[in-house]
Amino acid sequence: MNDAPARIRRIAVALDASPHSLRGLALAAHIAAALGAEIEGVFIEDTELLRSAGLPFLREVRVTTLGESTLDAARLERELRAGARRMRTQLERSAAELGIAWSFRVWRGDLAAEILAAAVDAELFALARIGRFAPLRRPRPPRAAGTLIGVLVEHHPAASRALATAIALGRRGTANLIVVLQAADVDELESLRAQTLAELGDLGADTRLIACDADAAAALPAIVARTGIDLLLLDAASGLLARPSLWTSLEALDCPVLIGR
Amino acid sequence: MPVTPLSPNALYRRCDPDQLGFATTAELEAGDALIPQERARHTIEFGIGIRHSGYNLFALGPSGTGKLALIRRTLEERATAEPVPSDWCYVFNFANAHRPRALRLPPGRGNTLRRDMEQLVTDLHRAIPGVFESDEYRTRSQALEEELEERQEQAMGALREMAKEKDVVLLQTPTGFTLAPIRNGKPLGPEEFHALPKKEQTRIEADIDALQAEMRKVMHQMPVWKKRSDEQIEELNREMAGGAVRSLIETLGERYQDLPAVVAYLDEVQADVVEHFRQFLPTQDKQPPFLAGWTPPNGDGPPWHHRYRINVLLGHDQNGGAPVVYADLPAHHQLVGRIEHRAHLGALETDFTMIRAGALHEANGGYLILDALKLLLQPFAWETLKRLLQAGEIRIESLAQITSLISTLSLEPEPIPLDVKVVMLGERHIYYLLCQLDPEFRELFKVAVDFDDELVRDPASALGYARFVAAEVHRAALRPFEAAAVAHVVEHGARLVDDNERLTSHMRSIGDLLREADYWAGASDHALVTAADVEQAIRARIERADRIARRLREETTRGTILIDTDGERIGQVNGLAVMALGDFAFGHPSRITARVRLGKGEVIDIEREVKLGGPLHTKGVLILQGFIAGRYALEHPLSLSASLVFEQTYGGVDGDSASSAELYALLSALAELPICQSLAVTGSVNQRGEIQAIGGVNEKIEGFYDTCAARGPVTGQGVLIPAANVKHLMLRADVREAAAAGRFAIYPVTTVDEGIELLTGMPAGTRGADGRWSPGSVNARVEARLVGFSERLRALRGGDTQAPPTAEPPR
Repeated sequence: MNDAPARIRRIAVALDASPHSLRGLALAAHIAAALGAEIEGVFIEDTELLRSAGLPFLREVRVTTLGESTLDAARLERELRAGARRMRTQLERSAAELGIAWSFRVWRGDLAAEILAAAVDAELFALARIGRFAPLRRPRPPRAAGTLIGVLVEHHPAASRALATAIALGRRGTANLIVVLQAADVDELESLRAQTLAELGDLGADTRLIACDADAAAALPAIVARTGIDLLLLDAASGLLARPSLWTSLEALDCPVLIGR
Repeated sequence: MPVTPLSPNALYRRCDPDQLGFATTAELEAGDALIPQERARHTIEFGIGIRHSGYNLFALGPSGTGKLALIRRTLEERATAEPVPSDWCYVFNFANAHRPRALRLPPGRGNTLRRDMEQLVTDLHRAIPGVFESDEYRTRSQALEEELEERQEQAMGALREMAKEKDVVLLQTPTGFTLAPIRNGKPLGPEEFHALPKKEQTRIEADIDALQAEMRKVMHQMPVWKKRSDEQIEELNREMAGGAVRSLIETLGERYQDLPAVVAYLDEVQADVVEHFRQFLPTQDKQPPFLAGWTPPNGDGPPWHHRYRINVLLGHDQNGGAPVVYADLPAHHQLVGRIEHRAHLGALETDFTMIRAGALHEANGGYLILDALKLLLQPFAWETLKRLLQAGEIRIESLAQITSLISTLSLEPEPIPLDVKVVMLGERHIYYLLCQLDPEFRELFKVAVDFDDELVRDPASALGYARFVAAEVHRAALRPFEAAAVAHVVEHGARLVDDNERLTSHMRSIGDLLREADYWAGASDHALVTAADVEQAIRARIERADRIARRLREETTRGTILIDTDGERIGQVNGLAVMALGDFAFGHPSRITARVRLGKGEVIDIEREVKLGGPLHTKGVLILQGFIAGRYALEHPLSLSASLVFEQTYGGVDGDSASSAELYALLSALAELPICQSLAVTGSVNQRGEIQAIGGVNEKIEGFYDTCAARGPVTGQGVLIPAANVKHLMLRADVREAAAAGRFAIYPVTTVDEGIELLTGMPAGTRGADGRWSPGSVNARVEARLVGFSERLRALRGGDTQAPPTAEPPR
């Protein structure tokens, strides 16, 4: 728990032109501004969706107009490009408003299996439910009192990187913090609490510490819903990300995650 | 009896300072600085006392007679005891933004309501965001949102489960949803699909068709659910906003329970605030998205921060009495008010907060004083005033609207009932013209307040003058006037009206004299204004204005203008004319000559022939023709041809005051008797030979005196004036001194005979019982000459018809 935090130079954010990815972009941009990092927009094109588009009998029902059409691959690609242009413009505007450096690229791959490979060069990767995993539900509105960032602290050495990033954001006044301590037993929990408070320093007084049992996948969604966490900061080594389906975890969490490496 | 010169006492009526009863005006109480106008005062009291339609007042009289001061003072005295009129406010009309509503409130409460509404808006800006940030609202709105999303997710989840059972997955595309077959959790591509057995392909297609039908059904339900959810959220929003607004407005409404119109307005405000509660949320981007993010357009209304304002058009002091307003610029918009505009993005905008009151609003419930000439000079102002008085309400319309110059949509404020007494001030000719030319005028201005130009000169009026002087001294911070100075002011007041039995009521002239006298007193280091200072002011005023008079005298002295002031001439007499240049009038002699010869009985007025003579002058000449015919040619045809002329006049001549002079010149020419040129003549004559009064007698006498004095010492000159003008004499001191010394004489004459005797030194003669005039008299010579003309003409006609009658050579 005493690894020095690496300097955050780049924050990647996964985009797909949905409201959820816009919300993720806004959060990531503010964090990048607070940390003095560059923001990298990664527009995701799901190859699995494009593969399906070749089937002639598939039909698409549009959400807004309820109109129907065949799922034409060429049209689908054009629409994805249009979405990418729109997100690039939005990214450019957000970066200009906040005065941060930015870059943009398109990543094409299997959304289900390879999403974490979409941003290997960034120290932080902001990911919300996007593409075919995007929820029907609209994203929660931003709170007037400031962003509430949760950070999951587990009992392994890499966990302190996520906490260090969260503390850096907390010290810059960018966010209020909730630290979720995941421990296997009471002793481990107390140890984690003491170390966390030590690292929080004067932030400790304003930070909520919440205990969570070892099965974070089951407990975290309830904590997120109860506390209204806007963004959950996880370390890439977190067990939550090691599960068979990352999207199942994200669906359960119902908030974007920021994955630290 | 021969006519004798007037005594010096008759030439000027002094005002005795001792009879005034004070030493200086400092002893007098400073009154209201008004010269008494009792008749006018009674009429004003009648006019403002009668409270019926059309009994407005028109004060007619010359400018400077104190009309405005007297009327304003009388009105203010009355208005103080009259009730304070209502306050009037314009408020937003929530039903029709173009027609602002007028609210009537008891005096003083308009501004209270304005402040209360400003506070209400401040409170609303605090209360409404408060309820939308409350836990109750968040919980309830999120619950509604959750309900919708759960419903949608349940429907889509059920569809997803149905699909999963048939190895089909629900995929989200950039713009919608589709269903795709899967194998091992991954969507099938075309190649994989076509590698499947045909039967399997058919089954998958059938399954997907069935699932797509189900998906179509679900997705068509979604907008319906969304609409229902939005309605529930909007209902919740209104409930929350209503809760925030109700208590504030109810509290406010309790203060105005006695004013149903205000209570009704507050009810409308409450409904409108609830309808537009979003306007009270801090900024658009801070609004919770479940407020639908849609802001209704403002439409034609005012900016939102103006919408609930109160435009206090008229706010009164509760103890102020009825208003008395003098509209010094009675233009259309100054009378009825105006609607101002603000420039915004290149366009002109307006709203009810930019309605401004006019003089009629300010005077409503009281009195409005207007200058008639100024009113008539302003385009459409008179027509508008009449229309509003007839309608009994103030309707604010711009000139552009009235004249249809523009037809853009503008405000039409609700008319305000009009209850005002209008007092117009103007010259008499304006009143008479309006009576003659505008039939509506008499209906609307039934009370004519006719101000006197003159006052009867008596001790009371002299004392009134003294009080006026004292008031002016006080008002204009002048030096106190000695009694002798006041007396001289009184005397000047008589001179201004050319009447020693009257005083002018032209207060402005007297006021000017007082200020100028004070100046000269200051220049002489006098602590008090003396009679000499008053005299200096009069003299200085004349000197400032008499350039033309001096030039005329100079040219007369130099012989450019031919005037004889000594010697004798046949058919030539010194007439006297008055010239008025602005406020200054002066007299000047004018040579009148007559030539006679045998003719057809006509007197040729050369002025008339060349169209330089006015109608009154022509009338005078025709009268003297009638006089001659009636007196001398009773039994003979008038076989005279005479010509009369004002020598060296190059402008128009009018008035009949020279008709007696023309008659004397004619008689002199007929009688062949010379006229004494040291005398000048003024007076009109009638057909009976009686001399009648004329105007400007003082200026004429002084004009002749000045002409004589300019040539050297005045010795034996004089003026014949009508005896009826003696009461008008208020002559200058130097003229009076010359008269007292016997160097200058003023002869009051009543008949032509008296005048001709003075001028010729010959008796006029009387007609005896035998019908003949006294032998050797002027009249006998005239008649003999005329009879001679007649007989000569008869002889010429009867003796030789071959030769035309020849006229006697002119003399």
